[in-house]
Amino acid sequence: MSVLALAPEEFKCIVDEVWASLLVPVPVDADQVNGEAATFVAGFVEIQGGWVGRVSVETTDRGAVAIASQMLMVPTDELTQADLVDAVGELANIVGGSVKSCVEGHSTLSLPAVVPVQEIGDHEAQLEVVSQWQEHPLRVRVLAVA
Amino acid sequence: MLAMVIDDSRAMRSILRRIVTELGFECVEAADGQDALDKMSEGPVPDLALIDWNMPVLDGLSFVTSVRENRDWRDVTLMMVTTEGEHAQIVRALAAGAHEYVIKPFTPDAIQEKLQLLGLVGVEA
Repeated sequence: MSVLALAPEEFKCIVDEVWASLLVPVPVDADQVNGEAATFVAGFVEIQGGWVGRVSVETTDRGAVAIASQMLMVPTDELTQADLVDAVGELANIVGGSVKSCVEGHSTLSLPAVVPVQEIGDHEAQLEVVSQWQEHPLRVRVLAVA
Repeated sequence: MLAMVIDDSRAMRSILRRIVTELGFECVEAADGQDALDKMSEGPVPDLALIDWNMPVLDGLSFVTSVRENRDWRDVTLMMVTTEGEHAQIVRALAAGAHEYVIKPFTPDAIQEKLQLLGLVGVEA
């Protein structure tokens, strides 16, 4: 039996810790995801081992630009598409690494990938945290892959 | 003192560069372990390497192993900075020759404290 030993409040602590270390001001909790679904991108990593699934960080295109600008300290008009992919992917990588540490037994973490949110797959969300950063929505999900 | 930040994420390299520059290091960057080995071969050899684990081309553990096999690089201080938090993996990295280990996410203070423990930056009064 595969096990992900992670309670919702523990997952929220993980996400909050990542936000606190990388985003200023710290994102605030939100009740729902705001924004056009069609504009969302998802950075994700895959965990393989005692539990199999994906950890995704999702935001809008404009949110990805703002995140990349802050992480790289580069003006938004100087960013490349590769910078956006890099920044959102790294957020997923860091959250995913913390989630992986809660999987029983040895497991591996993939390199991050970034796709339109529709392409992440129709997987069951076991855990979810929704936040708002500046005016940008942020959603982090733990998705079980059957 | 020269630091080399080795991470496949440009964003993470940028963040670590800012931290070590604030602490008084000059800084160069490498996008993976092989890129780092190539730059070290060309010189200058850094005093400190901050190393991600999961990278394409050559991962951080392989980089550490390669550095420790070269006597010319024995004075380089190696610090893993990675999402890899499994105890067994930490032990592997330290056994391979890493001096310190920081798990992402981290704060600038955490990096500073580790570098103080390693004697690479001074302790504030």
